[in-house]
Amino acid sequence: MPTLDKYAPYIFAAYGVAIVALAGLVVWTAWRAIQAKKKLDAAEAGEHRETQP
Amino acid sequence: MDAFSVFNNPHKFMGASKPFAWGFTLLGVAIIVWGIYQGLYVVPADFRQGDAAKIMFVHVPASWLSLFIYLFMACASFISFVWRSPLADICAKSCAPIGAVFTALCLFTGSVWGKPMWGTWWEWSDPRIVSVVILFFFYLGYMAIWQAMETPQKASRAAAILCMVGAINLPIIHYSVEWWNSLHQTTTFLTDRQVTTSEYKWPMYITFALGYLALFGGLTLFNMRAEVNLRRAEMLIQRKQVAA
Repeated sequence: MPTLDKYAPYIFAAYGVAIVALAGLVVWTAWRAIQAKKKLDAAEAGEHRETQP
Repeated sequence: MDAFSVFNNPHKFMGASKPFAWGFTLLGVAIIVWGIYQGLYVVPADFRQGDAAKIMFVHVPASWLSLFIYLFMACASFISFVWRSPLADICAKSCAPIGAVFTALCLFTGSVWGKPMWGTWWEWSDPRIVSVVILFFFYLGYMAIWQAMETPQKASRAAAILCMVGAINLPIIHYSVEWWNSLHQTTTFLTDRQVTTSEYKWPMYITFALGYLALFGGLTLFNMRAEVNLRRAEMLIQRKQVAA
C-alpha cells in the first residue's frame, strides 16, 4: 500500500471510485457489445433459415 | 473522400473500427493504470495541500473529459440533425454514458477533495458545482430520451435538440469561476517554488487526460459497433414480421 498522510482515506476513496467507475464502464461496454452480437447472430440465423429452400 | 465514407457507411465503419476500438481501449487502460501508480506511489506530497493534491490528478482531467465529450456529442447531434448522417446519432448516443460517468467522477472526486480543503462535501452556492450538476442532468436526460421515445427516428431528433441546447452550459461551466463568487479556485496548486508537486502537476494532468481520452475513444467505438449490430438485428426482425 502507498504511504500517504492524514488525507489517505480521501485519496483512497477518490482513486478507488475512479477505478471502480472506469472498470465498470469497460465491463458494461463489453457486455453490451456481446449482447448486441448475440442478438444479431440470432436474427441472421432466423433470416438464413427462412431463405433456405 | 474514401476516408469519410467510413463515417457515412455503417458497413464500412464496422470493418474499419475494430482495431481502433481495441487499440484505444487497451492504450487508455494502460495509461490510466500507469497514472494511478505514479499518483499514489511516485509523486510527492504538495507543500500546502499534502497528499490531498493527488486527488486533482483524477478530478481535473475527468472534468475536461466531461466537457469535451458533451461538446463532441453536440457536434455529432448537429451533423445528425442537419445532414441525417446514419452514424452521427449513433455516435452521440454512444458517447453519452461515458460522458455521464466522467461527469459523476468529476463531481465525486471534487466533493472528496473539497471536504479536507474547504471543510464541506458540497456547496450549493458554488456556480461551478451547480453548473456541472446541470451538465450531468443533461447527460441523463439525453439518455432518457433515447429510452423513452417509440422509434429511433423520433428519439434521434429530440435527443439532438436537447444536446445542442445543453451546449450553452459549457461556456457557463468554464467561466463560472470568473463571473460569480466561487469557492472553486482557478488554479489548484500555488505557484510557490517550494511546492514540489507543481513539477508533476501538468505531466500528471496530461497523463490522465490522454488515458481518459483514449479510453473514451475505444469505448465509444465499441458502443457504436454494438448499436449498429442492434439496429441491424431490429431491421431483420421487423422484416421477418412483415413477411409473416
